[in-house]
Amino acid sequence: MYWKDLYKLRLSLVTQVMYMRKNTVVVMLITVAIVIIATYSILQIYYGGSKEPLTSATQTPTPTTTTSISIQLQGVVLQGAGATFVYPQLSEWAKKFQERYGIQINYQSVGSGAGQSMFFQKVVDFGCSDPPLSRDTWLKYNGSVLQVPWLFGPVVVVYNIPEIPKDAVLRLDAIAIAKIYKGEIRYWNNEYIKSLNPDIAHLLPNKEIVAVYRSDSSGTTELFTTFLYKASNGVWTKDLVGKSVSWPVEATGRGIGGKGNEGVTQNVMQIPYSIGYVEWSYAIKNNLSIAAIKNAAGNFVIPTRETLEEALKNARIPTSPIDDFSGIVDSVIYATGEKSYPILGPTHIILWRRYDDSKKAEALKLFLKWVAEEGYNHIVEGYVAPPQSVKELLIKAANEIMSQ
Amino acid sequence: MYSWRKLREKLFTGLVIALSLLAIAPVLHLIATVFVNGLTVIAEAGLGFFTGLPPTPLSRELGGIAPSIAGTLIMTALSLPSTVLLGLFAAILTTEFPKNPLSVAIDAVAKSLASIPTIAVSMIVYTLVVIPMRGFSALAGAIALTIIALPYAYTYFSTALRSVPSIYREAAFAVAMSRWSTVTRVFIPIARRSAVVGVLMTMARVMGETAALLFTAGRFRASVALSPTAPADSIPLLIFDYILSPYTIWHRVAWGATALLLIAYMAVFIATKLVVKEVKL
Amino acid sequence: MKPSKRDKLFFLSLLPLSVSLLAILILSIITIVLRSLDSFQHFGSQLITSSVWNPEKEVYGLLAPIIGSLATSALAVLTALVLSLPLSIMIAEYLRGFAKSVVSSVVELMGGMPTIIYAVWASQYLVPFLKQLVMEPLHRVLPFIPLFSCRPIAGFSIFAAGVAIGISIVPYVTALILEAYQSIPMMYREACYGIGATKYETVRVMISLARPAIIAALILGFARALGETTIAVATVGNSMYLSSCLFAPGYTVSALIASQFANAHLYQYAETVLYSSILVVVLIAIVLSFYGSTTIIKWRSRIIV
Repeated sequence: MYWKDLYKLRLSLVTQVMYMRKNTVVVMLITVAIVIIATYSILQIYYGGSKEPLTSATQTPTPTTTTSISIQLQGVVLQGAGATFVYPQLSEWAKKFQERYGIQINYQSVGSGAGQSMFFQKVVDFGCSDPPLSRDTWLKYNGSVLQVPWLFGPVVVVYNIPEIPKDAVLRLDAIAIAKIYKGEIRYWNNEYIKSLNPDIAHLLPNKEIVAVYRSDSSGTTELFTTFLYKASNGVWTKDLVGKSVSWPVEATGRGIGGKGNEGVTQNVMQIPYSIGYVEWSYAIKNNLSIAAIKNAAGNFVIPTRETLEEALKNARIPTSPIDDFSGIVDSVIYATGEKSYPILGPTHIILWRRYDDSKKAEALKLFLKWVAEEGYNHIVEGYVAPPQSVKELLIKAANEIMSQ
Repeated sequence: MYSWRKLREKLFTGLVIALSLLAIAPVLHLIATVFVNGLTVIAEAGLGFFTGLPPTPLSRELGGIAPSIAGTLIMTALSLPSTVLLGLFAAILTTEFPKNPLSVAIDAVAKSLASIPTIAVSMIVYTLVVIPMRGFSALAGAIALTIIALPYAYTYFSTALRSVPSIYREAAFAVAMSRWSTVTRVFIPIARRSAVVGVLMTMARVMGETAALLFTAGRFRASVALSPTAPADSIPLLIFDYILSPYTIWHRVAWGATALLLIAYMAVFIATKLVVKEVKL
Repeated sequence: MKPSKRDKLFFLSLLPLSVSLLAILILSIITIVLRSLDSFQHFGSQLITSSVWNPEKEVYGLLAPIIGSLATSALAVLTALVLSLPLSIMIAEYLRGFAKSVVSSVVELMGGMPTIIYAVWASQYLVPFLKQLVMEPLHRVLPFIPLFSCRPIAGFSIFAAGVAIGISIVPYVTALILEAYQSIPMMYREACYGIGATKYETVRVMISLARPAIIAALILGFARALGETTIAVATVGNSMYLSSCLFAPGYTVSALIASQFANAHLYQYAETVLYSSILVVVLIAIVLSFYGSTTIIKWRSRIIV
């Protein structure tokens, strides 16, 4: 080995490196870097994972008014997962909350079903789901979970028809949408759709409708299918309601699945003559055309603050976060009101009543209180602030959380 | 007849050239588009791309992908040593004791499992590691990466060791070297370049795995986490999530991250070329 | 001859880590098998005779994803055959010196590239390209062939996924074919040129000699294509729709798992059904890889004169 000979010549380390082949040096440096990172990680395991992530202190500006509790909590990370519905709003809240208190919230936008699943397996600290826990699930965990419908947002029907100008609005009702998603209405210039849209009937093209739906287990799907079931007079049956349904249009080959609200939006944007259902903020941010839906009073409404607030008035919200919330969706979808938007839905945050980690429990309590006091001043376009009773629910939930 | 043959010859050459160009063209196009799309994004974001946090869907500025870079480095650093050790020892076993039923079993299993769908490994690690650990973590991700990289590492090392001519083994035994000394002082030094290539290629593979981390790493993008038992993110996972979303800002970050990944992969590849370009024994 | 004590110690010292490797890999297979037993017991053969995904009603039919995986891999192998055979011939016969090393390096580079990069490029550029320049013309000109009978609505389809995966396995198959081609003894080539054959005829003879190895390479490529996840998720369309038309959206098993596994725990049988679907794919992949690699080894020992 020639470097052993060099050693015998008692050359200094630097001269030895100078004499080595370039490639050897390169590979040596890479190995040294890997070894350093590996040793650091191993030391981390040994001396406990309770070390906070290093950069939290440098990333957040020091909050101006900190109580002693929040200084202790700086650097705590809350893990959440669930509905894609709420993700744009939650990421704004997380950013502001982190600036204020230094507590980080990491949210995986994987769908309501996955969120509930991960929450019950205790892999994440809180879950977000559009529909509340079903009655059976609630009965199973009675007393140990808290739910709060902390946001409301409409599910809008978006479409991509190049022939229709941006200022014209396509009108649809539940029967038409149900028939589209069952595969019974095939072309955009179908007679029934034309009869709903006398002004733009001549613009509707003779092209096949591509129906985009959610390929994952989605709360948005549950809200959408509940509306179709309630409002379509029997066309859409009860067994087609749920977070993950077997869409009849899929069997005709004219259906495309998208992952998350994000996937559906992207598909509708890219595929001409398609129709899909997404949460309102996704439609706004990506400039999609929104259809006007016929509500229970017989009017065609598009989502605006007024139409949403009118629908919101009908929400039957329980008084305690421990209660069963399974009736709330039914009360607010296809609700009465001249101008109410028919597909308004809640989105819930689901928490345990007891957490083993006291710091996480404190951080969660702080977050809920912050949302009730501050958060509702920063509502992102596309969501609607819930009624006052929800703010009280948030405070009650914050008080219910205990740690062992 | 003579001219028919000539014609066939010319046609064949033409066909081969055309199809070969068709085979290489997609990759060249891919590299070109990734660089064009990605480097503009990185140039716009500047150095902040490597130190900042990812943007929220509705923000204007590009931010950065620091959590993903850190996560990739940590998971690679965690999984590489174990993969290399296990693969190396198993390769030594199979070269030294080729007729042993254990070696035959290892060989067969490694060959067969090279094509296992990586998503299956992700599912398994989720069930066996993430749920008992009550959380996603970089450790779970590293375990998944190890399982996937093991057949490859084993194959590389085994080929490297097998390529040493048997004349060296005979010479070593002739001077009464013990078996361990033969391995450490004769085979590994002779095969060291191929072994290094094996390590580097394993690292390249581990760096670019997406499906393995889907259910194990946890998508932690809020800040740079350095602890292996905390959730982490990785560059391919970020690209996967962001490219399937409709937000333009996220698409641009995804292109930037893709360009970064491609550059990192090319760097590793060039390193292997540098090592192997030396005279082979 | 009895192995000495030293030899035995050597063996024992190698044992722990090697057995761990074997144990880890076998444990993975066992986990998959154990977890999928439930669904086989409960559903039986109903699982593979229908195509439906309805976890709320606990009705599952995996025919579409399984056929989708097989169809995309078959298409991928076809693409790889058309593209990599000429490429290997090109590298082996027509290129020399600098050009040869450059092209070989490019092929090796392609081979190890992270598949997410392929997925991003395929979903943004390849799919629209295929839709406009290949699928729509084919549908217009040849609609009577059942393979092309449906109108490509979105470009995301079994066809697109097959071609994208095919492009990603081209380097792998090329490397295998090249290795096989270069291990044919010079003797055959010299003999061909000796009787005055043209390059085309020589190559024909060499290919026919290497045919078992080429078929084995394609089988290994098929096994690799079966396991491809990221490219499939990005290009296949995610729809449980089964038809004979290649241009319709469909599902592969990996794409199904990527979409559905995260929420599988909410429902009683979803998880075991997903495990059983991956078991089918893993079994096919294992059998094929094993068969492919042993064929190549046997062929190599036969061809060396």
